[in-house]
Amino acid sequence: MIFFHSTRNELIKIALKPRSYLGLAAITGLVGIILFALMADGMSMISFVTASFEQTLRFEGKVLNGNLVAFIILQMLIVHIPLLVALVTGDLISGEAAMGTLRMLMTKPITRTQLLMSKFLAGGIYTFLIVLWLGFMAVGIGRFLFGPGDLMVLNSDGLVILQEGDIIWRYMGAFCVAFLALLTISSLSICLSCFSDNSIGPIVSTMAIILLFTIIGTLDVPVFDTIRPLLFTTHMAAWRSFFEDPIPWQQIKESIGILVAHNVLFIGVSVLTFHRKDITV
Amino acid sequence: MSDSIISIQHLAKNFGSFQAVRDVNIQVNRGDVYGFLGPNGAGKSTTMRCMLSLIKPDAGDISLFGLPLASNRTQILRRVGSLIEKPDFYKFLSAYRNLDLFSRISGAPSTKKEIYQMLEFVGLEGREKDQVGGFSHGMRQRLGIAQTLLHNPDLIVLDEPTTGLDPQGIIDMRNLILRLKNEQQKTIVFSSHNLSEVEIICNRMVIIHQGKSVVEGNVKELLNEEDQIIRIQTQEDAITKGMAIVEKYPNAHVKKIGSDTIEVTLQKELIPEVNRQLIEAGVPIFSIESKRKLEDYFINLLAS
Amino acid sequence: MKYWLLLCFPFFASAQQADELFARLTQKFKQVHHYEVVAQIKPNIPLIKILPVKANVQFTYPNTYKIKSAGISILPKNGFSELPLLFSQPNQFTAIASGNEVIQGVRAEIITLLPRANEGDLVLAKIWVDTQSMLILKSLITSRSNGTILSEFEYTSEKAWGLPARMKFTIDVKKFKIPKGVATDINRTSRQVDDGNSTKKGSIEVIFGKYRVNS
Repeated sequence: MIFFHSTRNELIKIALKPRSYLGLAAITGLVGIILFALMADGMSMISFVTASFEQTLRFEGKVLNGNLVAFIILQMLIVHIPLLVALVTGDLISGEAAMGTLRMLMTKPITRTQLLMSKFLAGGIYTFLIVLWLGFMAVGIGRFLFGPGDLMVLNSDGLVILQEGDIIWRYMGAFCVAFLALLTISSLSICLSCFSDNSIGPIVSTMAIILLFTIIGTLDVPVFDTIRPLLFTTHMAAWRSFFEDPIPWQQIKESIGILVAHNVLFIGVSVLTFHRKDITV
Repeated sequence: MSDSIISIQHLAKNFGSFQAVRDVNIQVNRGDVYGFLGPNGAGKSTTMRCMLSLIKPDAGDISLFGLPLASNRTQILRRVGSLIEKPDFYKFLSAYRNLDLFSRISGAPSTKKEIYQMLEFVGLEGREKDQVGGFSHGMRQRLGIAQTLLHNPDLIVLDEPTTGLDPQGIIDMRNLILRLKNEQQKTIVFSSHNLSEVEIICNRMVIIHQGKSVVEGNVKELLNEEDQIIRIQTQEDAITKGMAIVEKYPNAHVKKIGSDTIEVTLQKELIPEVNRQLIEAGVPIFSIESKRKLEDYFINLLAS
Repeated sequence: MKYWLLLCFPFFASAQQADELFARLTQKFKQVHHYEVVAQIKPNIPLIKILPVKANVQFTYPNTYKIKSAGISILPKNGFSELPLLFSQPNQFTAIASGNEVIQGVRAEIITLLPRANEGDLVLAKIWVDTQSMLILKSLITSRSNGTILSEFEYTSEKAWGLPARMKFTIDVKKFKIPKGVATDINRTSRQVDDGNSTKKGSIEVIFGKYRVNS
């Protein structure tokens, strides 16, 4: 029961903290800008992608539609969302330590594991809401403004054109995997938050780790070949696999496995660290 | 049911190479108002934090309500209300919301009515919906006390509760502690720099110095409360006559500490008699004031 | 799509005969002023994955096409409108007989069409004509802007109008390039190796049904 109350408390704190709305506001603003840009000059952007095909072929039908707009938005924003997530979740432990409220909380009859898990759960729910809002803005508003249609996706091995009726479930799958990827960010930042007594440190550290791993992941150097598949950043774009044809299920399963493993690792490290932590502030 | 509320044996805690607590032994019984005394850095707060499992001790045994803390943490903390160091709250939340949050994880969630009543009890009525960010230190301290008492704990632990309060706030806090003891039979442990505060409020105390409990016991016994030190101010030309009168009383020690003031140690019940004798002998009394003994005791103890 | 003509001349070996055949094909083409047809478009193009799409095609003489599809469909840039263009402007081309070839078991005469002016986009067109049925069985059209497209035709019920039941366009995909930076798959865990044997040709098959001609 205390775990339920604690989770409720954490959600109330997140809901009433102004910082929590930065993420939603940022997504709204960024999506608004992208939608405006696509409405104003979306076709030229698409032409840039399809230019070499259009020398020989012509695309009939509504290429610039809500589904493509949503895909473009996701592709552009999914890199930035981790910062918005870490901004809130990286603060969940260390922010309380800095405020002194962690000391107040830990004098209550709640176990450290309960408190930590309630923060993970609340962080997960916040992350889910961010993904949901992103989905609403990208798919919902995108389809409202641009209408439905087949989705043309440019992968490194060519164009894939997916039919309208075959898209929504792919978005749902993609959002689930994207959520898992962002949940990993949330777990990482909460884990780092256990090591710190100030709010900024874990947020900056989370972004630094994402940056470092992304660079290692994109450097086409054989020495990183063995570790690249193990980095969680490598699998953060696994949501994109839902828009390939055929869907590389094995690859998606591997990505989910790696992301889940990272979550378990981060939660495990957090529990151990938080259990040993002396609340001295 | 055991009367032992807190029992700490040979507590030790290091932070790196720094020994914050070396050997602290404490025994708090039901109904005690127990004072933690010691200079800054003596280990008072560390001991209190260990008692509340905020800090894991390196050695020693801590039992509360007869139960080992390490294995009964949540069960014990349900019966404890505490305010350690300073009252820190969520500044972006209202006073009511803060209490509601803490109440929900205290093991006995309070109703809205109970929270409002508690806020009224600590003098914060009308400020329930105000953000804590706008509260003064005194108001936060009151809110801290409200948070401590809300779930009706058996044991109340307060770390320097009067620090930063104005004189009226200090008096209110003292009165509150005495009310909790006398009206609700709570066991209260509190630390303070203010020696007279401990002397006035506490029935038991411990003095911690350099991480060790130097002395622990009943305040009256430790201070020999049978004897009282008083300072008598009179006229300069009457001081010799006055000293002669007082010196006649058995076991009285008289010392001239100023041109018109003497310091007298004698049995407490003889003070009215001495006063009457001096007046009858024509020695004018400008003032008689009692001198707190804990200050001397504390200074002598640390010096030794 | 316009493949037309049913005049039966036994044999052509000269430019004059080629011109005559081209003129008769043009006459046949003019018989169809308007038609609507349901088309199923099945592209099979390397680097593009797309399921067959149904589209509604409307033709109005001389060479106006309107294609409406529920989703995105892919058609060759050349092939649909260029052939009708040839027949709508017969004076601008010189027809040359270029031999014959057996296609689908039928002997077809080959006519090469050269533009009389140098400025136009169309560089060269070759058509294979079944002189028995006066139907175009194959065309090869080269333009400055769009390269070369090979089209093959099959006929069934609308043979009389010269309207095909199936068309297959073969296109060159050598020029297709994926823009780098736009399609970066950061979740790729292994480096892709170009095997050097990637297909260079793609095709788009269009199956027509439910013609409504001149109605």
